[in-house]
Amino acid sequence: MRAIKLWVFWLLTIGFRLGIWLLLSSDTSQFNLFVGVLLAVALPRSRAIAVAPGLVLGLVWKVIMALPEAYGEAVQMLSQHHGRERLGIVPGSGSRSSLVVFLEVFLITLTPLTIALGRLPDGSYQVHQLERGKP
Amino acid sequence: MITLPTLVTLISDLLLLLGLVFWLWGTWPLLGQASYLAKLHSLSIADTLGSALIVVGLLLKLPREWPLLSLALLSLVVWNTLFGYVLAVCSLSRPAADRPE
Repeated sequence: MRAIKLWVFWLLTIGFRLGIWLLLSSDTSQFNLFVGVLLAVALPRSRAIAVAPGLVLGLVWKVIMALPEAYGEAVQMLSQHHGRERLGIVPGSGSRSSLVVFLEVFLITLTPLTIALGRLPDGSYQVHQLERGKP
Repeated sequence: MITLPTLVTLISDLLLLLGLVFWLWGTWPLLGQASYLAKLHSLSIADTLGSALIVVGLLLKLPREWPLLSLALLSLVVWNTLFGYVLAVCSLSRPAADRPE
């Protein structure tokens, strides 16, 4: 099971690297595709802790879904004064994988009303929040 | 009768304008009296969301440049968001992770 997870994760990594390569070169000829695959395989494998691909893909999906929310919050901040600040806690998945922590911090900080301030020992995140009202 | 190219130009102009509004609105508070972290909140509107709108507007104007523009969109959103996080963490005297539970 762990081997399958690692394989799927590796394939996802290769796909991501190949995608960036194709965007950078904007050339989908067979030769360039070959060079891209070669490069993607040759780059060092990350030593991150093995993580369930489902968790990563789920978080990527959440990030995409957070984009409209981010714009909604931006419009809220534009239309009403948000002057009250407070510290809060946002629960996390508890995974120690650097990729998962990266995605969770990204998800929190992407929306303009919350900024992640760090990961607490129990896996949740301390966040700085803005709320409607006067300071 | 509005043709499709006119509509696309109109939408892209609108996105560029909206991005500019986000930029100005988010950058202006930097000069004010708000706290450092509050300024970062509004800066993320300018940096991340405003820039993204501008790049999407450009994407509609120059569709043949889509590979580079989408790469720019991805890097802008990821970089600006993470930079905001790094600046926020740097402002703490003690990072959250070091604090006792």
